[in-house]
Amino acid sequence: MIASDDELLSALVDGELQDEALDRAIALLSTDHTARERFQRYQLASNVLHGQAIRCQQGDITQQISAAIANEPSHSTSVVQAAAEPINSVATSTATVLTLPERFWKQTVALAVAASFGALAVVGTMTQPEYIVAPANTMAAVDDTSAITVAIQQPSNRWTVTEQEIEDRLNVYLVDHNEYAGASDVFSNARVIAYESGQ
Amino acid sequence: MSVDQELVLRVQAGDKKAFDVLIMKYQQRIINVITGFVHDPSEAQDVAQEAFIKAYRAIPNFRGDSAFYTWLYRIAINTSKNHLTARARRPPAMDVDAADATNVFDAPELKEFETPESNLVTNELEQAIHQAIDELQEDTATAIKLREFEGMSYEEISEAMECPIGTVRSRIFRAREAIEQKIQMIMGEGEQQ
Repeated sequence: MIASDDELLSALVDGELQDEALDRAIALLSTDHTARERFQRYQLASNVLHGQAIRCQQGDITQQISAAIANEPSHSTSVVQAAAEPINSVATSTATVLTLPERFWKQTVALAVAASFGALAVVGTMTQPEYIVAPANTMAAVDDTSAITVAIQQPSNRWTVTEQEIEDRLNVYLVDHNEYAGASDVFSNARVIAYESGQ
Repeated sequence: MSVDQELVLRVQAGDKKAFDVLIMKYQQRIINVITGFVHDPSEAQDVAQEAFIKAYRAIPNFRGDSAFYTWLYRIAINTSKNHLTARARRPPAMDVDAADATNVFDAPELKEFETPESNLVTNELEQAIHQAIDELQEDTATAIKLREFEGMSYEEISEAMECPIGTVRSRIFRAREAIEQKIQMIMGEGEQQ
């Protein structure tokens, strides 16, 4: 409980009033001219103690401003609710903005995504090197037995060795390392091309 | 919630008297800031009025992201610059940082506009206030020093001085009464002279 009005004003300078005490202080300052002047002096002392220079003799401009804003409309209660919950108010106002064109935004986003995928597919296909497309044909050829036969029968693809001993060793090497054949495309092709039938 | 926030909410609720309290609380500091731009005291008061009216109109949009004084300070700076531009006078070639509003009350750059007269008044007031504090009882002097120099809240002071918050409030009030008497003498308004 704050004993006197002046003590109330002193606490107001320090920002130490809440609720009913603040109500009391506001009422006091709006009705009592002496209280107003005392509050100004309390505030002046606080300002000087905080190192603020006094640049000129200052009068009280509160009444002039009050008169000037007397004709201004009071701020509405709806504004207060918004101010009391600033985060909610932002959410509400944002929601209001988005509600109206929601369909438009959904359609636009969907269209943009679809267009992006389409463009990506077209560009990807156009920039795809031929050797990447080729394995598809190769795989088809692998499935096709006659194609493999043709490939094997083409002498230009065969690494021919004249000495039987070396050829045997080479075939043994390829058989021993068959487990690595799937590790890369190169070995995979090598197996198809170079593996000697019957070994 | 701080008192300023509480007052702002009340203004936003349509309570114009709450805005009067904000004016009373900050007019001295705002006029000081504006005087740094426009120099002439009566002109500074006009610009301050304009700044407060702008603040009142804009207060529904104030969401409390910054301190109220920081927000008001920016309005005062902009109003001062616009005022000078409208009168074909060049605003000071400096940019005042809003952080100065809360840290040191006003920008150091503005101190160059202090006059010998204003310095005299300030020095006189400072001396009188410090003299008043020196003459206080120890507990009272400690309470006001912790509040004004250390920026401690009543609760912090009550813990530091091991006394109830009500006692802190009374001690600070007594200190202010003593200081106020000195100020009245200096400002020539002494009803008790």
